[in-house]
Amino acid sequence: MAAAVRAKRTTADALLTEALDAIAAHDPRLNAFTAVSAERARATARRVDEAIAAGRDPGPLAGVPFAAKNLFDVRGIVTRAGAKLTAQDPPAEHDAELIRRLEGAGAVLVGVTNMDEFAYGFVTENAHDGSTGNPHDPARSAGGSSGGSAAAVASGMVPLALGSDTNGSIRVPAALCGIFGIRPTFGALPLAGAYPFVTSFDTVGPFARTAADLARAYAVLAGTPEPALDPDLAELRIARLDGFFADGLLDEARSSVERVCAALNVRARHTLPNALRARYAAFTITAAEAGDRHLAALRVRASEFDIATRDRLVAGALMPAQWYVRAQRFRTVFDAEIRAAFAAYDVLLAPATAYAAPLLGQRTIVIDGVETDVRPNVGVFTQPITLAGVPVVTVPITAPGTLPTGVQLIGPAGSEGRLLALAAYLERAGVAGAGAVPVLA
Amino acid sequence: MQTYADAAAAIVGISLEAADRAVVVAILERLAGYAADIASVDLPRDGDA
Repeated sequence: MAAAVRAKRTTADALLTEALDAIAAHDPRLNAFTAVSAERARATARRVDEAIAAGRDPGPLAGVPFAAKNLFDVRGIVTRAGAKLTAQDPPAEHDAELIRRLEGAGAVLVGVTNMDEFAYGFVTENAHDGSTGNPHDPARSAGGSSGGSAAAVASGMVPLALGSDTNGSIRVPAALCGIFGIRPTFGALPLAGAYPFVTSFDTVGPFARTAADLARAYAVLAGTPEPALDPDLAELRIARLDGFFADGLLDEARSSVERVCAALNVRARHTLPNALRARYAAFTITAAEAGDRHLAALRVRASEFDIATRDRLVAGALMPAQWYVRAQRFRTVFDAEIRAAFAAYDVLLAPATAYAAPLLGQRTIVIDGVETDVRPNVGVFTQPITLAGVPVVTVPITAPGTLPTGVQLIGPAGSEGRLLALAAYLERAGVAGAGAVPVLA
Repeated sequence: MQTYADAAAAIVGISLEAADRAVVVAILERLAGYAADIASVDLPRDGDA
């Protein structure tokens, strides 16, 4: 897309018109966007086209329309973070750093997207802004909390979007919507201008429909050269995570991992003995830090929270400090497990979710004969990895007539390039990929 | 846990009447279980890391 703009085969303005038309056609059904900034986008696109006409290079993302989760500051738009409490806040005066970097590379922001309130959820069912539908079946969840961004990309409204991932909020919607997404190494991308959720875990990153687009966007965001997308697989030591990550999932999620393992000839299995405790610790730290962040509002404006968020925040605010401190101390134990795993392997594979997209409003799901709550368990396989702060690329596993799932490619800190290259290999091999843009009935 | 929740809410200045008390208590019980499980691990002392 950017290459076509730079080669003058199309214009940024024409691509923007296509995106705005697609939003007008599809968003009433999906509810992915909470605000569309057409006027700003027209001005940005015009600057890109003027640069090209003047012989200047607007950057590697020239004319690429993109969306951003509504927790990134966008000049002139209220950073609501999915909340009613923030609706009367003044509009942001400046763009978040990642918005600035994407537009600095020629990309064109077209709007901001729906999310779970304050990013505290995995389903993007928002009491204030409504639910975001999954482009593969609008009656189903897009995943969350960056569900609006994922749905915007999966439906073809935009080719690129920004999200945030604290406990799985990029990895889960990428999987359920059938697109690529990356949770970078903790601290790798700047959080400046992004509404905080959990200081210990917050990360931000992009979604895209192809591994190459994801790699290009990540390179722009990180300020690094684009990674080479042709890995020497013979040198890669890859294992499938066993134990916790092999139990409690439905066939569609299990078979996706098996397809990736078969394509990569992966026979090794590795167990993280404390994976379940890592999830407990992540849950505990999340509740405590988020509860503390919103304590002032919980005291006087509790009725304005989304019910799905409020009671978890209240519980977090009431938690004894000892539970939080122990969860933080446990991180040392889990970090040692992760370091040992990456001494033996370069990449670990795990399902992104235990099942494909649940229906919007679905309360329970039966796994191995046991009725399980849907909402708290959508992120069951992403949350433990959060604790280690390592990078993960979710690759989509799609097939006509079935709902997408995803597989996590997990690497040691700083291995984003290798993970993106592996994602590209799986896409070239026909194992992973977004497939055709779903046709909305 | 109900007693603890009421006392803690009073201390931090949150009214449990404005929330769903039963849900809050259930979440705290869940968190207590997590904390007990984590405490069963030989956690490093300060400086061990």
